[in-house]
Amino acid sequence: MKYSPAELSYLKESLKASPPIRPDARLETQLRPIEAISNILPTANGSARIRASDGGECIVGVKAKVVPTSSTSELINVDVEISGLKENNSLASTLSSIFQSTLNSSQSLRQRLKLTSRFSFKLFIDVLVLSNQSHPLGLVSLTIYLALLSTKLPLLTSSTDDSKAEEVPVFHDDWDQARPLCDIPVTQSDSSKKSDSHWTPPLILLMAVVGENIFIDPTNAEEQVASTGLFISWSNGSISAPLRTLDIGSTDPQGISSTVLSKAYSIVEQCGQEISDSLTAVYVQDEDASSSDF
Amino acid sequence: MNLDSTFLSVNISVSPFSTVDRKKRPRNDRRIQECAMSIQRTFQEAIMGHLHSRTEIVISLHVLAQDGGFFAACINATSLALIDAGVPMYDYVSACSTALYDSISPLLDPNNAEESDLPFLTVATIGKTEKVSMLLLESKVPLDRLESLIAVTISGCHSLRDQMDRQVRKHGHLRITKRSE
Amino acid sequence: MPKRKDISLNERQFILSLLKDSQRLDGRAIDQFRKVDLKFGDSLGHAEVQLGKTRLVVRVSAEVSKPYEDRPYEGTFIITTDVSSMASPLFENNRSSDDEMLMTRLIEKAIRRSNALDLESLCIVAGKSCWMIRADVHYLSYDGGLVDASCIGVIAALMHFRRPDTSIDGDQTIIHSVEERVPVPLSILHVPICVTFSFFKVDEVPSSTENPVAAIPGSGQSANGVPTADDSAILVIDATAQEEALRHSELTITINKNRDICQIAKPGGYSVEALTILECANKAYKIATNITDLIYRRLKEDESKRNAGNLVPLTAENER
Repeated sequence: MKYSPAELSYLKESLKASPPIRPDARLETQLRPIEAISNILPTANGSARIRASDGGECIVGVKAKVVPTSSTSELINVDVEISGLKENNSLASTLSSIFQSTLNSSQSLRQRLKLTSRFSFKLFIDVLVLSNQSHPLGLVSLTIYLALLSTKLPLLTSSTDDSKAEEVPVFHDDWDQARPLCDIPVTQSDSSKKSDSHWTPPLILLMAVVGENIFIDPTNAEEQVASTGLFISWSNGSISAPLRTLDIGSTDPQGISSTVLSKAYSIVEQCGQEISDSLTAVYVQDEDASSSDF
Repeated sequence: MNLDSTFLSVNISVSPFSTVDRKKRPRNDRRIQECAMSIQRTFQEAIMGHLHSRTEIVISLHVLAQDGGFFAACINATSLALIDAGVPMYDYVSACSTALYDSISPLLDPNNAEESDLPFLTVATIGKTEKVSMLLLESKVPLDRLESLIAVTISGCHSLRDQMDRQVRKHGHLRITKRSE
Repeated sequence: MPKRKDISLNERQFILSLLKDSQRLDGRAIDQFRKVDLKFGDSLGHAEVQLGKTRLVVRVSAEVSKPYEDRPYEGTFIITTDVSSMASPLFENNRSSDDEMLMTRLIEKAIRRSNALDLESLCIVAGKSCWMIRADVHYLSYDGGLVDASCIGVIAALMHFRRPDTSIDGDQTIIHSVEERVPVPLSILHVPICVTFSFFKVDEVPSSTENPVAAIPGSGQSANGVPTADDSAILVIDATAQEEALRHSELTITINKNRDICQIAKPGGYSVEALTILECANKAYKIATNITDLIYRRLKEDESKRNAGNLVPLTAENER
């Protein structure tokens, strides 16, 4: 949507104010309401759909395939399709590469996908953005998170050590025996109890910078007056790589100061755990609902 | 282009995770393009195009999971979406497929496994008529079995039309009660 | 089936009112197929079809290639149909319109998907080498019925074609030249023939300024679902280019002599009674039998011409 110069200037001034006034009266750390549901696709190993309050909608399907570990360098493949845009347009490929590199750099995820000494699962994460008003990065990240939480991989029944004799992996027939890809995090945020092997998917949170202020989950209007976008990843209870600026369609791009960066840090630290907890709660609820069906 | 009528454009995208084995389909897959065109031509006749001349209606279909009846599901979904969008139509367009088992018995609404082994036919009707708006058969069927196949499929279409009508009315009722609150 | 040719109102009304009286511009009956003229060229696998003013040439060729990974025991077969401006200025070069796409799909479904050509017989060494058969359809002139004519052309050319014989000697595959060994015919499992039916709305003939609602399907229906009198459509077989441009919907049936329907496509458009479709299928069967007989007759004539100088007819079939 196009705004008049007067509207943009009003918006910019109110967002620059201290404390900032967001048009929808949100806090800097507050996300817009979303409607989330997991495990919606019978043909995928894991799936999720999230609808944003501005009409944005994203569906993610995760599928796993057994591959010889040596044949591929990347065990996670992320493919983003944005409805209405051409294949391989820059926004879709930027998103694909952000998520693909973030997920591939996770050693513990790679460890989890390993089946035997020769074979691994390869994850295909296909993202379909049905509609988006604001930059879809945040929405896609939440949906991928939820889809990965709901991902289940079949239980391996053959031997895990096939270094001597090549053996094609054999799996348990019963889908109920499948093991979840992620550990379902304890809903309380007690990071002390977590062991090293504990793993939850990374969340990538998008923020917009206006003047000396920064806030999470910008709307389309806020994106237009922002000097730059910034995304920070949150994984396993702490801030982690990547941390990058991102062009979110701002009309007047500028760099960011160190105070803004530290504000961004504290925002993510404040709401990262809360977001992952709420999504976990959604997953647990969906899981309970589906198991009570039988 | 006919300027006295509404122009429909149909896009179908099939998600890679929709099948049992992940398969990425190019957007210009001929089968899907053919499907999109058939949908466009079917609905061109079903909508009251003269009421919205010089207008384009874009229909985007996203297939998330496939287990048979791909084409029929696309048509039924389009029908419901057009009604939800408030596009004036003469009647519901309902589509259904029937497979032929053992060269004798018709099998209504085959699933993926049945479709891959048996010949099947997809029919779309506009409203509850014996008239066929769209018909697609892609595999061998004995000529003498065609009649029973079409008859079963049309009755399937009719029962789907009734079900869609029930759901639309239920949804409409829900909307109205929400508004009046 | 190009983008709609603009037809003047007078012409349109004339053609439509003729059709209403079951007459056609070229003097045919409305359910009469045009005379099919089928000729074979000097080389094997070269067929020329003339259907009224529609003319096309089909050339079949074979080369050794690798089979698809998921089908190691089968050869490959491709049909290319590129309608160029040579056929009619209505077609654009190197750009296929929606109609052309539908046409390509139809020919593909009629011949390739119906397994008219036995692909397994094209295998030379499983997973390693096979014959790739190509049928290139060239359109010389367009006057409707491209699908029907292409189908006749492709199947006739396939039946006429002979591929070089092969033999396996240890690891080596030997391809015998035509001079060395009599080339072998392709194994054709059945002869699919396409027949296209065109439908015209009765109530739009003669086109007038009456309420447009009356001319739309469904509206001509009384409340209790009983079809009213103006409900039926005029059925025309093998439409010419002008008729194709004016028709309200089309139906293509592919059928063979064994009464097997290989494919039916009615991609939307004006609705027709289910009974009409069955009637069409029966008509298509009669036409298909005639055309199949014609193809066999022409093949036989061509064979006898080729064998004119030989004392014993040359054949690759061995007596078993």
